[in-house]
Amino acid sequence: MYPLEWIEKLKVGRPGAAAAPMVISPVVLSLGLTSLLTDISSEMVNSLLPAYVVLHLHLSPMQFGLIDGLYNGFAIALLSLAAGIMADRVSRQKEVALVGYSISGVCKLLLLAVGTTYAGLLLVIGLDRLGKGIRAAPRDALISLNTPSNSFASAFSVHRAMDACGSLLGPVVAFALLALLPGAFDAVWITSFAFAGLGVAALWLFVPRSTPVPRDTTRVVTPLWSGLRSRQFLVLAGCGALLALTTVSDGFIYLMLQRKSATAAGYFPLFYVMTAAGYMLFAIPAGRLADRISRRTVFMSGYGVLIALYTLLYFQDHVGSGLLVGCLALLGLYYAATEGILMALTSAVVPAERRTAGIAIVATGIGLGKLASSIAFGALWQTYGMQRSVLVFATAMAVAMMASWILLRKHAQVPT
Amino acid sequence: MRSGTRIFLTLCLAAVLLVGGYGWYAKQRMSAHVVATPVAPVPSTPAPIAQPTEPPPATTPAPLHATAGTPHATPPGGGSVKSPPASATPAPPRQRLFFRSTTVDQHYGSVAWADVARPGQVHYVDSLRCEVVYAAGGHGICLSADRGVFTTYSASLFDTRDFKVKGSFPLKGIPSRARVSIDGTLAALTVFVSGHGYTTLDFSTQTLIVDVRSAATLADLETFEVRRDGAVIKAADFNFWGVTFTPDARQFYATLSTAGQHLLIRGDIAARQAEVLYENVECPSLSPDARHVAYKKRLNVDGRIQWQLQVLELASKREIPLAEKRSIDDQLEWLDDRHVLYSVPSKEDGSSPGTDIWSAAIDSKTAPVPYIRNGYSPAAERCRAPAACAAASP
Repeated sequence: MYPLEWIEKLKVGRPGAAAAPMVISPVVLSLGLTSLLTDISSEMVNSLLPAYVVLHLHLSPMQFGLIDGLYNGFAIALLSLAAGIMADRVSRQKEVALVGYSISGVCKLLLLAVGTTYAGLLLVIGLDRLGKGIRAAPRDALISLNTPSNSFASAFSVHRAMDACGSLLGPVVAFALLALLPGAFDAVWITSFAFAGLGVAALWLFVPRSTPVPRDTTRVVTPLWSGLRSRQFLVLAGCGALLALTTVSDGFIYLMLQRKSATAAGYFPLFYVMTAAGYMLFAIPAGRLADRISRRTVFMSGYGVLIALYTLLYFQDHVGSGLLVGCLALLGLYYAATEGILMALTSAVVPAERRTAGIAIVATGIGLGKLASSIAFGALWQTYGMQRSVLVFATAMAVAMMASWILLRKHAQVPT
Repeated sequence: MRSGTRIFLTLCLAAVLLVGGYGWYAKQRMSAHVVATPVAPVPSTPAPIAQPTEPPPATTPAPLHATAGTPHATPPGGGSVKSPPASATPAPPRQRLFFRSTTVDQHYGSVAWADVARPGQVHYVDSLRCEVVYAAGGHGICLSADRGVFTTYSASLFDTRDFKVKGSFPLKGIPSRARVSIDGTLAALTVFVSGHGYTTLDFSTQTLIVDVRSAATLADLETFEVRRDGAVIKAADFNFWGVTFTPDARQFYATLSTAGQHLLIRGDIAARQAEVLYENVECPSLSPDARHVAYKKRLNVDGRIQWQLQVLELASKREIPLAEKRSIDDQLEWLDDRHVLYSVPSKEDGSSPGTDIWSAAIDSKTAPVPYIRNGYSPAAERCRAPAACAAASP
C-alpha cells in the first residue's frame, strides 16, 4: 500500500505487527506501584541496617557473613518453586504474591519487636528474604498475564523502572527521617512498615484476581511439568543459568571499582543507587526496543555491555570519578537490557497455566547460577587476584554468550 | 475500582497519621529523655593510680570547651549549669577518663571526661561528636559518623588539652576500635568495611596505624608479613582488628582472624612484620605495666557467639577468666594495672542506645561494678611525661 511499508517492516522486524504505541495495562502500573512502595520500605531498612547493627546495637557484624548466601540459596529457591506451582494450580497468583508481600511487611514490625539481638535480626532478615522469594514469580506472572504478548518486554520494563525508582527513594526517606529524629531507628522501622502496608494494599485493591485459564476438561489432573517441557523453555532456562554463572556479582564489581578509584572511600551505597538510577533510566527504552526489534538481540546486547564493563575493568588500573559513573551506568544498562527482558522471553514460551512455575524455574536457575558464580569468583580472586579473575569471567561470558546466541535462535522468531 | 481507590487513599491517610503520630511520640520521648547522667558509684576497690608522681597543675590553663555536668542531678532543661557544689577550686584532675556520652540528651555522642578520682563529675566536649574515642599522651582520636543520605565516616585527631582538632581523614567503613600510643605519636583504628555490597550483612575489617602529627596512614595491617611458628602465612581471608600499642610505641598486639581462628599477634611497626603468639584472643589490650593482655575470648554457646573476658599473663601464659559472666563485646581498657574498664548495653534487649562503663578487677572472684553510667569507649588517659597529660583545671 504505502511505499514506506518496507521501512516499517524493517523497524518491526516482522510483517504485520505495526509499531503500536506502548499500551501498559493499569494492572501492570498497579503492580509497579506495589513494587515501588515495597522497595522504598525495604531499601529504607537495608540502607540503615549495617550502621544500626554496629553503632546502635554495639554488635560486631562479623558473624552474619554467609547467612545471606544460604538464605538466597536452596531453601528459598525451593519455596518459590513450590509457591509458583501452587499459584498456577489454583490460578491464585495474586493471593500468593499478597502472602509474600505481607510477610516482608510484617518483618518491619518484627524488627521493632525482636530485631535487637543477633538471633532476632537473623530471623527477620531470613523471613524478609522468604517473602521476597515467594512474591517475585507470581508478580511477574501477573504482569505477563495482563499484557498482550507483543508488549511483554515493555510491560516488564515499566514495572522494573518503577521498582528501581523505589530503591532510589528508600534511602532518601530514611535519611530525612533520621535527620528529623536523630537515632530514632524505631520511627524508621514504623515508616517502613507503613510503606510496606500501602504496597500490599495497592496489590490487594488494584490488581484483579487472575481469571482461571480454561483447561483441557478431558484430563482431570494435568501433569506437573506439562507446558514446561518444550525445548524452547528448557533452552531459555539453561541459557539464563549459564549466563548468570559467568556474571560477576555486583558486590565484587563494586569492590573492584572501590579499589581502583581513589575517590570512593565508603561510598558503596552510592554505587548501588547509581546502578539503580541507570536501571530506572534505561529500562523502558530497552523494553520498547526489545518488543520492536527482537528480545533476543536486546537480551544478548545486555551481556555484551557487561563484557565491555569487564574488559574496561581489566585494562583500566585507575578509575576516575567520570569513568566510575560510566561503569555504574553500564551496570544499570545491563540490568535494563536483561532482567525484565528475560522474563518477557520466558512468558512468551510458557503457556499461561504454567506461567508462574515457568518464571520461578528461570529465576531459580539464575539465583543458583549467581550463587555458584560468587563462590567461584571469590575462590579465583583468592588464588589469582582480581585482574585475572575478571579476565577469566569475561572470557567465560563471551563463550556463554555465543552459545546462547545460537541456542536462542528460535526465540528470535517467537510469534508475539 | 472506584471504591478501591477510595480505600487506598484512606489507607494512605492512615499511614501518614501512623508515621506522623509515631514521629511525634519519638520526638516527645527524646525531649523528655534528658536523664540524670552519671551517678557513678566509685569502684569497690578504690583504684590506686599507678602514677608515681602527681601531674603538676597546668601552668597556662587552656580554654576548655567542656561544660561541667552536675554530679547527682540535672537541672530542668539540662542546659546551663551552676557552679559545682563540692569544692570551689577543685584540684586538677589526677588522671582523666575519656569516653563517649550515650546519655540521650544534647550531649549524645559527645566526648566526655571525668577525673578517675571523681567519676561522678562529667565534663562534656560538645564540639567532638564520636562513635568511638580514645586518648593517650596528650592526643586523642575520634571516629565519627557523618550522617547523610549516605552515611560516611571520618577520623579526627585532637589535642586533649584544648580539644582542638589537629587533623582528620575519611574512613572506609563503620568505626569499631581506636587506640593511641602512650607517647601520643601513633594511633590505630579498626573499621568494618561492608565487603560484598549493600543489602547483605557481610563485613570485613580494615585496621590502620596512623601518624598522629601528620594524620597520614603509616600502615594497613593487611600489608604486614605474618609468621606463625617461623613460617610466613598469608590468606585472602585475613582480617585484623583491635590494636593495642606497647609502652615503647614500636610494637603492638592485635587480633588476626583467619580460617575461623582468632589469633593474638605481636607486630613490629618499623619492620612491618608480625608473629602469632596465641590462639582464641580477640581485641587484646595491654596493661600499662605490659605484663598482662586483657581480651575477650570467643565461646560458642548453643550456636551463638558469647565473649568471656579473660586476662593473659604474658610471662607465664596463664589465663585468668574474670568474674564478669555477661557476654562482652568490647576492647577492654586498663584503669590501672589491676582493673579493666569496658562498656555494656544499659538494657539487655538493646531497646536503648545507652551503654554503661563497668569496672572489673583482674581476678576470678571480685564482682564487676558499674563505673560510669551512659558511657561508651572508655580511655584512661596515660602519658609518658606527666606534663603532656596535664589537663587544664576547670
